[in-house]
Amino acid sequence: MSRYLPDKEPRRHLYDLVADYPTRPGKALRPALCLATCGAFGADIAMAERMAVTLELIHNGFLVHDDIEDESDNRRGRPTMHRLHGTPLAVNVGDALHVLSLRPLMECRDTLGPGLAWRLFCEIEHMIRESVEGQAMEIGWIHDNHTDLTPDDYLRMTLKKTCWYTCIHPVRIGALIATGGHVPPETFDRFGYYLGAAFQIQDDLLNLVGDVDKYGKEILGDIWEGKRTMMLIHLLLECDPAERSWLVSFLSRPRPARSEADVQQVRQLMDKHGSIDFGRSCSRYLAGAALSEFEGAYSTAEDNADLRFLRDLVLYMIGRDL
Amino acid sequence: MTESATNLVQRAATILEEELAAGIVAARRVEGQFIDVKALHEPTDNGELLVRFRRDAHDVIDILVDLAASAADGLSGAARRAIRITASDEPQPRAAAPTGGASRDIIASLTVPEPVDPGGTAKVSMSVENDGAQPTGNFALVFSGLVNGTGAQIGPDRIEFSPKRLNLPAHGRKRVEVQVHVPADASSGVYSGVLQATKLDHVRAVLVVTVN
Repeated sequence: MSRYLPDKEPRRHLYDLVADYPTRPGKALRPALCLATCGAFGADIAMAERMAVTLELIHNGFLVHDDIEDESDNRRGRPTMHRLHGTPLAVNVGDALHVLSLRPLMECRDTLGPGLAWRLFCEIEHMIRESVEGQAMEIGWIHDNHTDLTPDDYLRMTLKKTCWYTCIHPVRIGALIATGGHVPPETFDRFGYYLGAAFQIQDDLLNLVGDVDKYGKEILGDIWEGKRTMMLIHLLLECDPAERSWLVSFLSRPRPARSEADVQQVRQLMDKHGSIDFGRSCSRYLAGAALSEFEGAYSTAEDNADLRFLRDLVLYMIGRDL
Repeated sequence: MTESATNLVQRAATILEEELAAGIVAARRVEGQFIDVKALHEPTDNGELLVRFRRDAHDVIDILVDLAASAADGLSGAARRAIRITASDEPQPRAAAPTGGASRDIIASLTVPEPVDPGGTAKVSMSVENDGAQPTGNFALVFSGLVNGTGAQIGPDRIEFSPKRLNLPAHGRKRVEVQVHVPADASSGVYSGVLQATKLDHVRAVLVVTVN
């Protein structure tokens, strides 16, 4: 990836900052899914490296902007970009990461041929569009203080905000590259959706029950933000009228007007009404469904290390202790 | 809510289907500027497209896009081809080297001889033959599903190949059985779809099944 991060001026206010998030330790889930799927279908994973870089650069651009939108303090164990350098520079760094993601995508025209490169471009276009639409849904819920949401609303938002770009398109892209475009990419939609939704719910659970050193972000940050997670939606549906009235009032206040005691109260209500356990159940059901879909979607793949990695990833999601 | 957690996966599947249906027209509109999908389908409006392609809609469009791509590939693709699919299990005479760009030179037709009732299983065998002097390595046959003239579909999960994977030696040949399990609620009509081989460009066959 470093090949696509310019080593030139302007360094101080752009390119040094552009390299920050991509070089922090992260899971690299998206490139891993793309490369492993390519390998599982018998191709040299080097064929998918450019698209893996594109996916990771786009993801890092999203993270920079996401941290601004969420007013987050930490990312991958360090202060967020806008906390370190201010919002104007951080917005530009996010833009730059997205622009830089285009170069490896463009190079696919030469390495994979114009027909396949065009299909990959369409995959990326759809992926980005769904992500920004999903992000708009989630921010809009907070902005308008929606408190009547259902698990179905959450599933739809997560499909758009997270699943297309975290799982569905990375595996579709890997399979398309491996087969020269000769696999129906829709074969992987359900697998990617279930895996992505399980991943997102687990990520939200970590924000509620995780260790800040392992999680890399502030614990309970989602409650501070009023983020409509599956657990908060469950709580709004399950709490009694008096608790609900208080909770709606809490969510109507801007973040600076929320207190530590209020945030802890929301967290305790989640325990009282089984919202954490509900989230765990949802995540495990979805991860189990992902494993079932995995066996069908990868039925023509080769039984190699890449396929085993993908299966282990799903099994890890099912067995993850949260 | 516990019950709703157990139903979550089913609801998620429905949401995915709804989102795919809602997004299909927009998702392929950009492609349509380069490959005239609209002209191939002649839809009256986007709503009709949405209804027609609601289930597994990408499959249908991919078939047509692939066919269009085959036509564009033409001679160069055929010249590289070493694997052939034919409708019987008997050895076929070598085809003369194509001299034009017609895609039909490189697409075999596999027609199930007898119409099949809804709920029944259609069977057809084919021969996959390696014309080349090199072994093929492992590859699998994949299928995008069947569609009839009204847009009704039979999904790829309804088609089985036996064997599922092949590895042909130089000048080798293998008989493959294809089974199409027609859904009990399938509407009548002539269904067709494209069969392809993973990792082997330009290996295609059109499977045709008539449902009573």
